[in-house]
Amino acid sequence: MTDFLPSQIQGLTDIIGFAVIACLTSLVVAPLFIRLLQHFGITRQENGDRTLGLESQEEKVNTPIMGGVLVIATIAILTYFFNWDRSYTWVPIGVMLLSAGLGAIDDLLNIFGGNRRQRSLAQTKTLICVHKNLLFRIWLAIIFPWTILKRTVSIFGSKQRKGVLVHEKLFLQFLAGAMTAWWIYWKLGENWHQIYMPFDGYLSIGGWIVPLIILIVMFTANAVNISDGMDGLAGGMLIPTFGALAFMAWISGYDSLAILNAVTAGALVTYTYFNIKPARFQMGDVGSLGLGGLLAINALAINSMAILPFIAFMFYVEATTVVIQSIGRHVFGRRVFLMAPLHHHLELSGWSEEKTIMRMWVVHLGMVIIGVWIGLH
Amino acid sequence: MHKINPEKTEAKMRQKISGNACAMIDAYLSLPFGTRPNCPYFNNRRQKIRGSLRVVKGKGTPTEIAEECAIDAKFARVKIVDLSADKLKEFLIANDLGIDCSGFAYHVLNALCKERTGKNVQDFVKPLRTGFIGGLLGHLRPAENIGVIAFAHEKNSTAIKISEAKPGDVIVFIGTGNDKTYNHILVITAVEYMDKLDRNNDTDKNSTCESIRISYAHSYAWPSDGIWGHGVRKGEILIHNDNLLDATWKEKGVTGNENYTFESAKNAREISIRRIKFNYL
Repeated sequence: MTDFLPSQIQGLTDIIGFAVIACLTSLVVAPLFIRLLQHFGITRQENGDRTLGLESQEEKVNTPIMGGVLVIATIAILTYFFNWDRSYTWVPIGVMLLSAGLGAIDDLLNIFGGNRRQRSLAQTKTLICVHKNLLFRIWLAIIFPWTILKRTVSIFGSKQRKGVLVHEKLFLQFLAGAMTAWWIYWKLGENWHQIYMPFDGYLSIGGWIVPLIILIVMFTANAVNISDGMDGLAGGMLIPTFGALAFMAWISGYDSLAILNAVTAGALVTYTYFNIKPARFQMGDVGSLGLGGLLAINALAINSMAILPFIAFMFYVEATTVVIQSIGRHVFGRRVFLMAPLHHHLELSGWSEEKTIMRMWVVHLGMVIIGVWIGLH
Repeated sequence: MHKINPEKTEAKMRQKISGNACAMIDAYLSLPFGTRPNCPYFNNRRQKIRGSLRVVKGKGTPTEIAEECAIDAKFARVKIVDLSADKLKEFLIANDLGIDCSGFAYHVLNALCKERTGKNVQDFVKPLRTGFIGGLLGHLRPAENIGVIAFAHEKNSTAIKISEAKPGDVIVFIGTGNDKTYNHILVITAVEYMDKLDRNNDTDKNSTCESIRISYAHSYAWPSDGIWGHGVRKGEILIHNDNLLDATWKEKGVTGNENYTFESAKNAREISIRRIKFNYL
């Protein structure tokens, strides 16, 4: 029957086929993978995580974490063997693996690592004055600006004793963003020097597109990471997002990118199946940071930057609530939300976890559809 | 000896703080949630600061304290409605929620200032922090940066005679406590000019002189309060002459040296009644 279909429609059958293969492959591996996570004790720890104090979150202690490895590995392996395209897929996979690697280190350090010591500025200044080792004093004086930066950015993170610290995360995410910007601006060609604006043609912002791309990659990766706080929430929202990206890539004629997005959506279906409450495993930073990075670069690669706020709507809303809460807390000393991100605010307002998740899914799906509609113009 | 001006009108015989400020004091006296507990005192020198929210630094409004308590209760699996007022106060103290003396004065005077001038109190009382960052923080977070010293500073307020006191003025103790490093502030809520007949019901009924009764509200902890008894409360001072320390201080039904507020006043390096700039308007 496919012989009678136009070539582009045949491409669509390939895309859907890959999504199904990704879904089934991960479905076969998932039970074994969950056992492995349990066997090695890769489970969620309390670690002073305040969100676990919420009634609905209490049961999540000791749930296997790093389930995102299943999705990341499925995407990487299927792409490497069946969809390796030096023009379009290897850099997205590279950015995804870099971000996922950062998340994996964070997850593992959170479980197995010791407490990370952080000196305050006052302690550092004292040591510069009084430490018995002169060389150490000089070293502390030299890196003092870096210490100031570390302390400043730590304001924006939650209080943490373990894992990768905020400034380290931001540095590695900056690298992923820089890699993306280099690829898009210097390798993909002049078409990507301008931003496609639906209804209005192209917008040129010159070299400013480079820092914008870096910012988008960092913000999107963190946004997905922030949204991964309830069973099924991030996974359920990522499926329509990557589905929309697959559709947009297919419409734009980037078949390899369409397949990459479809594989991601397929693997996420399996992930979400096992992640729905009560979760058999959780995504972890390895999945959320990796998929957030992949989402940003895939949208940029098909020049759909303008519709990102729609197809990643709820992720951006969640991240924005954290930014607003942080500004309110640190600048004005007041809460704006009962708790950030938004899903915890709603939960504290009296919504059940299921109600919060499903309403967010619905709103997100609606915005994704609007985004696709806008993107088609 | 202080004498009342015979030309004082009936209205001036008893002056009371305005409605909004009075409502703010009442909200601290019985917080607007659950079984309406009294707001505990927050010792900002003893307690560790958990975060940068003003409510956990002893500078929150009654509403903010209620909201923070509701959040803490969710995490502690405590149902606020099931707790008695005393238990609820214990829960507040256990979670480091309360109000310190200058935070209380700030919010009460802010309510009064808004009602009277339409402006915030920080438009009249400037924080003492200097420099660009300090000035900016003082502007953005006035409740945390306007302390007793700022209220008592010459550029923000002026010392007045006892006979001139009126609601909205403050009584400040500078350098009190055993080590003379604590400061404290009381907000005058009412001033009553008493004739001899009125005073027959009072503590000092043998005195024949005319006098002033100053009612105040503040947030404070007496040693006799123990862990749970401190908080926002009212008291009164029966003035006999121009010296506040010769007056009869009455709080919680206690007068004389048993009254720790009076003891603090006596220990202070400096005690004065001051009028914040807006209160001249």
